[in-house]
Amino acid sequence: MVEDLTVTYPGAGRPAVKGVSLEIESGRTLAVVGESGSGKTTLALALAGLLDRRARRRASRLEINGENLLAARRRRWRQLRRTDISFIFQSPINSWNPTRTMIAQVRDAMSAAGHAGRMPELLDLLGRVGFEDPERRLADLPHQLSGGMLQRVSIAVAVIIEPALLIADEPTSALDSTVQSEILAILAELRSEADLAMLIISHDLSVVARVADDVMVLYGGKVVEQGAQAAVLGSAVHPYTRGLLDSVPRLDRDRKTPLPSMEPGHLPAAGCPFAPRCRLVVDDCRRAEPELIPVDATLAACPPAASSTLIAT
Amino acid sequence: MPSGRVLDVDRDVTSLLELTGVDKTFVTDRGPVRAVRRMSMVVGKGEVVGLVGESGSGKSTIANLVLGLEHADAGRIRFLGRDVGEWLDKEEARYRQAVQAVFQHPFQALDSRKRVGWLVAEPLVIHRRGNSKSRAERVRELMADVHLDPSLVDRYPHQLSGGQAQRVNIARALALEPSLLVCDEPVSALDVSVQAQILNLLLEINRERSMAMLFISHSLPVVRHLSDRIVVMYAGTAVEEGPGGEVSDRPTHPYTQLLVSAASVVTGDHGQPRGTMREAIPSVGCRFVPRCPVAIDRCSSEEPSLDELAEGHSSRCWVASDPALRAEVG
Amino acid sequence: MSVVELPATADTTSRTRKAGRGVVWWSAATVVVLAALVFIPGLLAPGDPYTLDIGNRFTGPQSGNLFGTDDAGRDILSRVIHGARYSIGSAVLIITVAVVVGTIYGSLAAWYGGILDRLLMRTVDVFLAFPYLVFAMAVAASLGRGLTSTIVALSLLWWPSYARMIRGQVKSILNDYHIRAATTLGARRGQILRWHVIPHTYSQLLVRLTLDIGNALVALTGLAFLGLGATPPLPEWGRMVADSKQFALTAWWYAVFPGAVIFLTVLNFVLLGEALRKRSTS
Repeated sequence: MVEDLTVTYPGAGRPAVKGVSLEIESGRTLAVVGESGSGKTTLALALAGLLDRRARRRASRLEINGENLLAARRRRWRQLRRTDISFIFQSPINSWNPTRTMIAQVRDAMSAAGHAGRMPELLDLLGRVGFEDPERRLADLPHQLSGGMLQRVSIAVAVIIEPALLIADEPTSALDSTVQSEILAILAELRSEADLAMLIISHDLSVVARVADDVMVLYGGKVVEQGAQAAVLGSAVHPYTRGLLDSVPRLDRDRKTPLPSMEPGHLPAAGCPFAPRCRLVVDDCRRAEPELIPVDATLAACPPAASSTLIAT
Repeated sequence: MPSGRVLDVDRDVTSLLELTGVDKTFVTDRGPVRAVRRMSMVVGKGEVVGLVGESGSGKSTIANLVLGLEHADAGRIRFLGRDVGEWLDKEEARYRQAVQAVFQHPFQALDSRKRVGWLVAEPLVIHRRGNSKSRAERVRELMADVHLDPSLVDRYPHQLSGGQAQRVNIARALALEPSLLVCDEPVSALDVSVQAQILNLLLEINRERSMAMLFISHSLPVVRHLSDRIVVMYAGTAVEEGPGGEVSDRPTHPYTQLLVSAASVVTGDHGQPRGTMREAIPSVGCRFVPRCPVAIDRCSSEEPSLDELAEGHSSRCWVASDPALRAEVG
Repeated sequence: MSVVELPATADTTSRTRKAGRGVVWWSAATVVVLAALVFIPGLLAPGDPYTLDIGNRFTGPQSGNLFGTDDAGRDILSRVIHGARYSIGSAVLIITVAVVVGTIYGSLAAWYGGILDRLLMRTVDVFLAFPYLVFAMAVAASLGRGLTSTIVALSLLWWPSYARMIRGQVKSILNDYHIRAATTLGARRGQILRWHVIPHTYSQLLVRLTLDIGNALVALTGLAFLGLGATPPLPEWGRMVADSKQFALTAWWYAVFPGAVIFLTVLNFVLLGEALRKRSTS
């Protein structure tokens, strides 16, 4: 869990992440949704102790498994990443060393986590997630396997070492839609079996819909809306979340009609980060940064949307 | 009809682009890979045809073949009734002006050392359209057409956002008023909110210029949104083809049904895709058998043909084309 | 609740980049001075480089002759300043020829590929296989003594390495995505090469060329020492050092000043080249 996290990169006017608090109980999945520049990757890196040396991090609390990590040194973070924090990256091919066989790399990861003896279990698990004949195929080099296959291995290894926290950064955006849904199904299933907390990062709300219990929407480094998955996807309040949901082509939508799209806009120096692109913007939005307030079933940082929702209901 | 189109589409020819029995095999380290197998399809004048399939289905190879970046091993690819190979040998300039493309990676498709204005003017310079003054005027027009701020004209690509870079690519493609625009995954590298803007722009272009498009994507909802007709590709060949709404609302091939269920999740309808191994594509019979929930014995030995089941709606499936079997499977 | 602020650690990357920028500025300023020596030596030199003054032979450094005088009583400083035209000018000329020929040759090989590529590149291999000094001596000797024949010899020797480098670069750039885009726009071969390929080779070419001007200067000096190159009384730097060797014990300044100028000039180009390389890769 983390409270009031702010990360600033040198030379940047706005913090990349500003005042973000989150808590994931083990057995639950939180999805962080946002577009490029929203700060979602910086947030994930901060939670894994992988921030660039130059970045300035401030937080009032940072704990994993009850351990206070505010003052943890790099060495402690390295240990944690071997045993307590697993990371699944966006690009399956770049997460593996191209010159070594898969089996050698998997063995290294397992023994670094202190689970060297559980290779047979891992092979079983791989078989179950649709990686047929794992013993033979793992003798291959990474480029001889497809992206979906590599991602299956990454997930299996990440889960079997029983971490406290599993961070998946865009785990499927490099894959095709049918493979994507297979991988998401596997992630959801393995997560529910293992009692770990999962943080999944994505720019794609449809990914979120499949695996997350809770959803947090980031814009310009700030949380603009958060809540239970069904609430955020079903009755989003914040205009940015609404815009994201409305702008996606869907099978139950009219064809060949313009999609409601949000105009691009810059990040302002003060006030609500979304104000320049917002339909509901009022003068107050440009002055002060709105706080998260409960509206309907979610928390949204948008007073105008909140008041209009309250009037409507 | 916009002026300046090099090939005024002949009234007698109904199809703009026609592929018949196209084959393409690549030789790789792990032996030959048959990327496209006996692929046939048609794009009519002013029609948007969506080509949907997963990576390795051969859909991007189709784009490369049409653009003359690869050459087919067998079969014919005809544009306005004439082989693409012949076009490129004899009248390459005219073919290039008539067939343009927008690619997946907006930044990589732009020369990083050239400014936006130069890049948009490039096709005009290549095909010697106008003088430098009229070209500058045309660049302004084109940038306005794709809703790019004119002040971006002196920027380098790395100073643009992904959406702006893709608009520059589209402006370049439009500069020559092509009759056919090949779009190979034009939005899959973009943020969700930017995707909608680019899709809207493509819709607008199709409507205002009656420009035909071959729209290639792995996403069925995206393809459905834009296309008059959809062709579903699996393992190098078309498995289902029909009007845009029909294919997605009443899918007949089990692979299309899988695509539909994978795409329906946001709306709450959780499909259960089968987690099987991608590489296991058989070399005889129907290529989809290992992942198919309704396969019968015949499927493993004999490959079905693409049969028309309803008006303009065809499917390559033994079960779908047999009413009795279909009823049995449900 | 405690608020912990992690201080930014020492920013080493930007510090090295700043140092690199200093070297670039310093070297670039030196290049401007050298260029002035090449183009307007008459305005900068205190005296005439050819005026003999037998009564004033082997004068050590003094107020009238800062670098002393040589065996014919000529002012060494004036000779060094006027010599820049011949030494640096020759080096630049050699590298220019090498770059132009190498770029055209390498691009053709990369573009057409196949048999032509193999044929062209085998020729390059043959050139590169010769020991360069022997090759240069053979060519220079067969063309007769003199600076011109040495320049021709070194130019012949130098272009193949550029041809090979450019071919490799062009081959990799041709695989870039933006080349596909230009092809579908209908760009012709020449246009693609001129607009989209060659400009992408500039940054590496600039690094290589800067380093090589220094190398060419060394090669010229070496050949002068072997009796090839400029003929007297031309004040070419290598020639001056070569001529001074028999007086090394009696008139140290005769060898030391031209030698030091060569050393500093080469060092300057090497440093500039390295700094440019660091900048282009960072």
